[in-house]
Amino acid sequence: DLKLQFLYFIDSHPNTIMSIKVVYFPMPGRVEPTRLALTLGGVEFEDQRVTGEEWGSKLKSSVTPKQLPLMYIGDKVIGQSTAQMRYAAKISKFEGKPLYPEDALLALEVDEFVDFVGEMFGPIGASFKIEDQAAKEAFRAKAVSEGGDAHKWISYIDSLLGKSKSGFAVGDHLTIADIAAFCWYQPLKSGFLDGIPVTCLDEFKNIEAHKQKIANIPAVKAYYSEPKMPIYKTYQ
Amino acid sequence: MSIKVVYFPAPGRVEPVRLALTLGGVAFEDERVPFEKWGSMKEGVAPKQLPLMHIGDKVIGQSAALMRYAASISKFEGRPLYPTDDALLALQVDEFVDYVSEMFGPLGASFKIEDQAEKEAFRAKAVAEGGDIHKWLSYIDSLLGKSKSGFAVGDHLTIADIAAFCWYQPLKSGFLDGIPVTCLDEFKNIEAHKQKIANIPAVKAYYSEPKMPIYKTYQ
Repeated sequence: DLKLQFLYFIDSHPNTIMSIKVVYFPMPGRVEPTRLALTLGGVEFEDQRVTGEEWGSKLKSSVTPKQLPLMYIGDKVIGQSTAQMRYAAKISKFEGKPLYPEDALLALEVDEFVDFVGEMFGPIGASFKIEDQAAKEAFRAKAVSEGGDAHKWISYIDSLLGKSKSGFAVGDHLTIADIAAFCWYQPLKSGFLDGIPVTCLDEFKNIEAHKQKIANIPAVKAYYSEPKMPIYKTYQ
Repeated sequence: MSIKVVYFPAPGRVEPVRLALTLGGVAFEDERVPFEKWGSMKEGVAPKQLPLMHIGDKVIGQSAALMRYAASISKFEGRPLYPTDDALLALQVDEFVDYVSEMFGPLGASFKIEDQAEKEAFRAKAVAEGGDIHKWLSYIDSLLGKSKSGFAVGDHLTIADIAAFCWYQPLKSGFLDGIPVTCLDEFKNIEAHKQKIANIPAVKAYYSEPKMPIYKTYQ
């Protein structure tokens, strides 16, 4: 029955009709989990990467508020990377299961895990505002070493991953919690952030094991095998 | 499953959780830990932060996550305070909540300033024109002004309304040194929204009880 098939298709692909465009700079930043989730879910989207110059000279004046990433969904323009990521995970299924759980309690645990990983953006974000290069690098080095504000959270997540029976961040299958940890932590050791040594994650064996687990998912491996940006090497 | 919310005797970031569960008629224990008692309690919990929510045998942290869960399980006038069956509406709710919570960046940073005069000057600057809190208040004020229903998102009460109400009102309570009680006066839409939420009978009832002096700011 064609009508039933059509309705089933629409039901399981709520965004078939609305176009999606993700706009950010050519870097992972906070938006990478959104890109990866949509890709894993086979959800079509335009992945628009703007240069700083394009943003400053053209796009910024036409949008409110003036921040990237932005997600265009049909005629709506939505900001706030964590909100976008959660939405992308809800509409993206991997191996038949949405990357964000429908079960409220499991969703809570996913949200909690993501927010724990996201704690690192506090010190890292603050470091971008330090103008003196030497001061910036010293601040970052301190944050990722023992006792530092980023280190303590990475350490906590490392212990949580170590306790996981399934090897996944939450529950027994891939969720946006895994994707967030993978996408947000790996750039720390890329060498692209001045002052943060490429060895900064070496002590965290569970984070490394988790990274291997996620990076080796065939669809993830395929996505990062394309040379979109040099920093993508860190995901391989 | 039994629910217990643990925080200090302050609204902080957890107030929307308390209000959502109350509006939803979800039974929960509202444990308020005196500031001086937290030091000794802290050793027994990881990570060492409040608020925490005890749900059955689980202990969960992260106020934003707790708030979304509380809203997902709390219905007001028949509808959950978080749109669990409409991902796009939920996205707009999440976006709005995250815009409101942008203020916690500068506000949180201000708590770390040890010199009292410096702390107060930092805060006064943040809520004045051009300041890091002011710009977000201004943006939310404009969003509320554009709302046809008067609600933050969509056409009924959601956790987006509750977050704006609970997080903004303490700014004008006088409890935050350096932030003048007039700091929200210019934002007419935020005030109209506050009136709308405060006058919901169940909200009014909740804040008529003298749990804490700062609750006057919600009346």
